[in-house]
Amino acid sequence: MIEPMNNKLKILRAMRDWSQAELAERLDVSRQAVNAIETGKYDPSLPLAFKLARLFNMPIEEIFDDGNGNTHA
Amino acid sequence: MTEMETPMLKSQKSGTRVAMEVTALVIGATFFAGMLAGYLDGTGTTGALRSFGPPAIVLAAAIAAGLIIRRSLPNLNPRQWRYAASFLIAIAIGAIVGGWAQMSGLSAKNFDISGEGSLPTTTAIGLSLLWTFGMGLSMYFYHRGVDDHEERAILWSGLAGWYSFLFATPVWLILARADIVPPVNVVMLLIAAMIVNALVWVWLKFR
Repeated sequence: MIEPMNNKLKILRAMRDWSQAELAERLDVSRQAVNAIETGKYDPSLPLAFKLARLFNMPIEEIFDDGNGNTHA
Repeated sequence: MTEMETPMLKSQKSGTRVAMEVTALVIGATFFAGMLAGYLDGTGTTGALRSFGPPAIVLAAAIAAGLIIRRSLPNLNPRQWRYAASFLIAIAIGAIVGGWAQMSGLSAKNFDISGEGSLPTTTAIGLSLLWTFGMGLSMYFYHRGVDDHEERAILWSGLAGWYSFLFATPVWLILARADIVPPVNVVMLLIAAMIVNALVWVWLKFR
């Protein structure tokens, strides 16, 4: 099984003062989904990753880090 | 649209929360009604209390569930609505099966699907159709209502349930052929697979 990636979701959410439930509502997913991504227990699908990137107005690779040398990290 | 342009959302009760509340309420009420019925049977109580007591508890829970749903539905988006609808359909099927069993006068023993007792033809066909089409409808809404994260939980829990069946069945068959264990019980295998499925689903969704 592939290990989950690191991500900055919790930081980005905190910067906007959003709760997990608020972010979940904006992404149209459950709060458990946001929590699982933030705690590194699950990597989102590509469509959801794009949704996150659009919501935070950032490239996907600035939000997620696979540990293999991101240029934007 | 950036996050700065996105309007703040009002606090909403999610479809998951609504479905869980309603499910817990109905399961709790059914459990309590069953306990009361068992107690009344055990003490030999008859009359209105035995006839109407347990159904009244379930009815009260159904009314309360209806009020929760009515209060919450306007706040649900389409995906959350589909998600909640899938649980409500499943609960309705359970309620109809329970009510049908009660009205058919089936005892707890011969209604047990793992039992050997025969069922009336109409009941058997009706319950089979209800399960097939009712659960099919519920699953249609469920799979259209789950999010990315829960879909993953479904896939892994489904695989775990299948593995539990795949590993257990041949072993049981072979051991039974040698008279080491009792003959294979299909319902036991089904229940075991469902329990494994449920445990993995809950773990992946809520851990």
